[in-house]
Amino acid sequence: MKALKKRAPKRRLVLDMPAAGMDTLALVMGPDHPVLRGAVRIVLEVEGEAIAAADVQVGFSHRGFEKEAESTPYANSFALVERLNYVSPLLNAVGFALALESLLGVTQKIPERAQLVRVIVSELARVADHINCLATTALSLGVSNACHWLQRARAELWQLLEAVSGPRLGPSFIQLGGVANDLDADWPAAFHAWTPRVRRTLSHSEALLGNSPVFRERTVGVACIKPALIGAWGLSGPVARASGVAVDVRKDAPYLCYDSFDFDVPVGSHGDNWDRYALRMEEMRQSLRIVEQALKRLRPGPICYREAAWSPPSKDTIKTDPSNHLLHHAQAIFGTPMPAGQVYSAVEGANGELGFFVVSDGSARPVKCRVRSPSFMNAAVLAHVLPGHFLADVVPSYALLNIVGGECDR
Amino acid sequence: MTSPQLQLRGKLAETLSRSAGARLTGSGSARGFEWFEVSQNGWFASAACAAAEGWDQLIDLTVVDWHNSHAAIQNNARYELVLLLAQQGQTPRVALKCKLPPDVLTVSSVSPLWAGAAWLEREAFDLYGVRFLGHPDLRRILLYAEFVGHPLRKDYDKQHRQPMLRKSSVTKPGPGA
Repeated sequence: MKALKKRAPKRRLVLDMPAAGMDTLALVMGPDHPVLRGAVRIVLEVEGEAIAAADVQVGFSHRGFEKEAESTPYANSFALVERLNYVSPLLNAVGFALALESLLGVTQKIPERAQLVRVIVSELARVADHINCLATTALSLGVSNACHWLQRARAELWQLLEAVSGPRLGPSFIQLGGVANDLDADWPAAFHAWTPRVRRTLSHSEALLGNSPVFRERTVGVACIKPALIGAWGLSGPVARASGVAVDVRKDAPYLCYDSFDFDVPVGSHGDNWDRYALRMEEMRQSLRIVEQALKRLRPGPICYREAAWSPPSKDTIKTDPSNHLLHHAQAIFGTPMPAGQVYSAVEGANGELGFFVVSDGSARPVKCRVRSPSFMNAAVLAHVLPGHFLADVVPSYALLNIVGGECDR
Repeated sequence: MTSPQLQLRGKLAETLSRSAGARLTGSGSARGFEWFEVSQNGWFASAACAAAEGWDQLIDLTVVDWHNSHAAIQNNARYELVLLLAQQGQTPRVALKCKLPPDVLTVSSVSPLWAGAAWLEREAFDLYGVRFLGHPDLRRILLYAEFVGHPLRKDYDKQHRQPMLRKSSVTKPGPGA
């Protein structure tokens, strides 16, 4: 695991607030708030500027994914899964596909090219999520240049992903057995043309944010999450790693072909907002490293493993071939049965361990389709960490936990 | 499963079967995790065994409604509580499970062992109506306070309408607030 560059922790001035005799004020931040991205309500009890207690209220983006999935044919739920963490939809879809393929028992049969393409889109999805997190954090802390530079990089990244998958929010690109489309022949060149630009953007943003006394004051030493809290609060991903706990599903329980890539997992030491920021910067560089290796390993080959029992018919034949036409509609309406059994399958989402717990009774719809949401656990720890901090600390702490509403509330 | 995983699983199996409080009733393998089923009364003791064995990484806590299963209804075991745990950096996940009858839908809270379970238990209460004894703050979490019913139960129709909120009920905190 790679340690982040060391810097001296900055001592924070703690103003002595007289506790006795001071009334608390109930302050409601959100769910509609100019700088708290997403719909989360934080009810604070403040004594002056100091937070005495915090109640983090989620659920404003709850759309009933699990209820809907129970009455939906398995393959149709890909459309819903992509809308969980809507900033990195392809990653969610990869996780869901892996869970269903595990249930089907075909994990080892996914062709290598399909696995590499899945790794490529997963890592680019991670970069997109991290850029979004850091860009909105920068904007909310007043370093708007960094926001614009980073969002431009993300716009270019999405152009690359659109060239692969088509739609942005609902790519419908990951399917059972592999992926729906192949990379164009000129895609690797477009990616390699983009990487120097995004690396420059990351460096410039890092310089701007790192040299900003305002950004440093509001992140260094703020909202420290001690390592002992990580396991108890179910924290994973960048939040856990920033606290020095080196967990990463790609290393601990490798899926796809992650165990064959050479990449580092950065680890912080203070668990403060700064570490959660710096770690994401470094993770993006590691993600680009993985994609470069994956592109070098791409060889011509099939992009999807098919079995007659559950594979969808090829889309270009469903309007001309009557039996494929019927099969397409039958699958969409009635679904195809999955083997009975239970599976828990996790991927390393941008915010941590994104798990799918699927229970099948052998029918075409799941008994249970549970999403293990890393954002939900991140939101839980926020209320624990805020007391003792100042009102101004809410914004960067909330922003750098990256609680994505769609993933938190499902 | 590789041998270290078998050892970890075996160790927990042994601890659970030796513990009088846990009341292990079954175990098995699923894809991605090993599971141990314990009795409703032995839920906290089993969780405490697992915590003591080093299963300190909370993964998930959720409920499965087996309303459509004849076997589950016959055995008065409609609901199944599932607690997924891991050891930091280790591959195997374990699941502790217990069956809950619909007429006694209460079980001990495991939030004293893993603080993050408090929110997961709130969600189980919100969506299934399971009550967790000793929970520090059992109220709804994803749905609004005035919501009526527990929608992830199989007998809650997906299209079921909720009562319109009166203006006065919105300004006052509801029972679930």
